Amino acid sequence: MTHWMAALLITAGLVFFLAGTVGLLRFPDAFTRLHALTKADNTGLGLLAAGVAVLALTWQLVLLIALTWLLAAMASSIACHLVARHGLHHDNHEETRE
Amino acid sequence: MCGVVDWSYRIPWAIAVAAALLALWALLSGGTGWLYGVPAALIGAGIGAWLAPGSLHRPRPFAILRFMGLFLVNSLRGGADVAWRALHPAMPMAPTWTDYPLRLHTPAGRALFLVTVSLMPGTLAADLRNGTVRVHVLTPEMAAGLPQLEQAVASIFGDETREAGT
Repeated sequence: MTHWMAALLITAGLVFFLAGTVGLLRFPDAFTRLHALTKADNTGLGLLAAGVAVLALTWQLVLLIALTWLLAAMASSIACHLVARHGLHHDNHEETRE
Repeated sequence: MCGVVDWSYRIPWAIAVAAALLALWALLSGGTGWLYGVPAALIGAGIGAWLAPGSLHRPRPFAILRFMGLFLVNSLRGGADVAWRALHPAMPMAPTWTDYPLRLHTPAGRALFLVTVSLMPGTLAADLRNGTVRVHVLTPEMAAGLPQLEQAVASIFGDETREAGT
């Protein structure tokens, strides 16, 4: 039972990673691509981590997995913010302003 | 340089930093190697007391739980939304910029808000200037979720003082 649940969560997570990569390739500009990467990967990693956590045998492992997801989500969000800020100030995207 | 050191707010910082570091050590090491973990936590506590940026926020467990719930739900929604747009043949979106005047004023609250915004459905925080966040949105109506997130962050840090008018 737990194996099926884990398999479901992990597969769902991989679908999000795939969709994020598709977005990275298809979306029109740097900012929309950042949306795809940051959000889809955060959700994908969260589901993947939840799937692995279901299989974990100790609480210590579950907490470590949660910590991993938290740090990865924070790092990707901060990286996303920095890339977007750089793009905003240096890439002459001013014409998209309203 | 400064004559009298005010310890009243530095002690809580030292205790909080030491507790967090000890918990992290226990988690990472599986409860071994305290010979290294304890001194490192004590050094961390000293640095925490030394740097102590203002008084420690009073912990608000319910506000934190509420924020975590909102974060989890919106993480799923945000990922699902952008995944749907990426896989849709027509890629439905109307990306634009919007300015969001921030009511949060504590640095920690602002940082948490900025980090979270980019993981919420359709919003991406690109810059913070003079208390206004420049947000990139996938569709204009995506910005509607921001006040709820801001409110959840505000209640963690006791930042509601300027929320009275809403």
